[in-house]
Amino acid sequence: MSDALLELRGVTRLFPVRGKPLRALDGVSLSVEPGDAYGIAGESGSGKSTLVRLALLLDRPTSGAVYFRGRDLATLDRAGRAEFRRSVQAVFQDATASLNPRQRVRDLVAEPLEAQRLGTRREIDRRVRDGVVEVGLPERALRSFPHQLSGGQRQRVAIARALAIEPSLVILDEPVSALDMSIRSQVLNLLLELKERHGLTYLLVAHDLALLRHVTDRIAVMYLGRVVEDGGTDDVFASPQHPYTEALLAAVPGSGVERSVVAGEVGPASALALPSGCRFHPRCPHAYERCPVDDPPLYPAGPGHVSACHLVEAGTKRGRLAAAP
Amino acid sequence: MTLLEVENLTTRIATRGGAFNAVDGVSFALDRGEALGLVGESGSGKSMTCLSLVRLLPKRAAQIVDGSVRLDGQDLTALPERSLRRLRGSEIAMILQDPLLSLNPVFTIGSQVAEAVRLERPRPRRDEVRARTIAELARVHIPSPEQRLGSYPFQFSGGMRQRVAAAISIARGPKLLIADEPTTALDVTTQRQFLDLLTELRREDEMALLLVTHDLALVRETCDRVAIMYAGRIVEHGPVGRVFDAPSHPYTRALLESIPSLTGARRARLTQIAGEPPDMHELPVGCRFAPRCPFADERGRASYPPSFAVPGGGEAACWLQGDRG
Repeated sequence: MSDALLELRGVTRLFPVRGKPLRALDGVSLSVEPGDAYGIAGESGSGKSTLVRLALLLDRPTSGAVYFRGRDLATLDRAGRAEFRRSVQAVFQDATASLNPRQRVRDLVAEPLEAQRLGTRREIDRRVRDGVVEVGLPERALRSFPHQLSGGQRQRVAIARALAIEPSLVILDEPVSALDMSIRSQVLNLLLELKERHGLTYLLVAHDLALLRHVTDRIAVMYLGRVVEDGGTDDVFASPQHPYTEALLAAVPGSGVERSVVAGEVGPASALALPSGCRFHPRCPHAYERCPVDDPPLYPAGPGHVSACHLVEAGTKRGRLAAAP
Repeated sequence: MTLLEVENLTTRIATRGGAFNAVDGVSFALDRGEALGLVGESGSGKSMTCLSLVRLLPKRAAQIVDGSVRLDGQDLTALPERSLRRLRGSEIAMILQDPLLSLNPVFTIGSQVAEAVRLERPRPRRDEVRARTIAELARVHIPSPEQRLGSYPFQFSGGMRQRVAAAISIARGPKLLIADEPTTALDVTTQRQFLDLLTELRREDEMALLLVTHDLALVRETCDRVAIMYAGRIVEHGPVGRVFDAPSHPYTRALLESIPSLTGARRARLTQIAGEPPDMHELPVGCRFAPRCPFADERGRASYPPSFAVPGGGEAACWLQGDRG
């Protein structure tokens, strides 16, 4: 058994859509070690949200398994599930939607503690107060309702609530994308500080590559339900080993990269009518005869670095893909 | 040659909490074929500025109370509604954030583009409409447009929908295109494609572009000049090169420094802007950024600074720029 905190092994999740299977996730494996800041990058339809739901035990895989501390989530009994929920918490994009508008901040932050019966009322009060202050809110905010707070403050409440029961893994799903520019860096700095102070493990899902680069030390890039590249953040950004990762990087405004912009787009029907062979081949500037025929597995592309691209296996990929055609 | 000249534009909004100037003495000019980025956070007044330009403000709730908007010398604020309606679409067009809202879900793409085509003067003959509609869709790079005429918006991906919205907007060859967060709803790779399209259309027709966004990097890539708004006012403007390389206003500088980049040090603490944007009902007496500004002094807290010229182009509304001379 590996010492991974969260592990996905060959996870597939199908949703029936008008009798046809929609492959939201298709054989995804990844492993989040304790202390990691693990990033998931991907655009719409990549399967990020399904992955988050599975990792939170809000949904179950069609096949494959999700392990937490080596235990298959599907086999957990009631007590096991309760323990799992004590260890894993999440912060979502929109705090307005994830916080009950009729509860005060004190009750919102206390709720997970009370649900898990962690302490007497006094202890809970103290922990709530400390938690709220730690995320940079004034103590008087305890009596506020979410609508009386700004977007940035609401997200701080969501963070305090997630951290209240001292989880080991925190899943951050686009935690700052709903926030204003001048507030984002405040929340990002806070998240990094809290990670250090509490020795947390983060699974960060985001579409913003610069943000992922800033926060994470490992990153998996997803495309249409698959992980297409996985590696150390420095390696992936310095020398991307998949044409899709390259395209994502080139598309970042201000990246200064003047590479060809990848054509096409993931549309409403894409996941129902997956391309043959490599899923990216219709949009790939480097596709050759093998790509529409042969579905690439993850090939080793460097130490702790894998890529689902035939060019990597063929060894024709040296440094940047830019040299090809 | 100047196309659009906005002077001291002031738009007042009435809310339950009282009235305030959402746009407060905004002035800028736009040359034919030029692209200006209008950047600001939510509530900064950037969208209200756009709506004021075309006088599409919610009736009663908002009103232009001062200033002028001259398009080719003609003051739009003084124009009767009938004449203004003729200008909208033919001279000034708009693209909004979410094409799902701007396109009608129950009409085909073809009929919606044809509607704009039919408004052209001289009025196209009936048998020409179809050909012109196909041509407009081809111009925004909808693949095999003749086969897509019968499709409905929901059958299109986000990027394709935004292209259709663009086709409708530019069908009548407007001199000015106002695009309010046109790529915010799009995926990263699609975003880049759409921006390239806007630039292409602009070059073909010498169309001026007012790009409203919160994304600074996007402005740098797409625009010639940029204006930064804060709490209803433009705090700094100038050529993109100068503003991004040598920002003058502390707000601009902090914004630029607070964004994680693809090249900066990872994990480094990001520059934070303390606090939050002011409540528009209780604006500070002096500079509106003063309460958050690390450089604010007595002058800044006491009175709003005039705009001072910045070497390299543009102006900044900051006392410190006045000191630098």
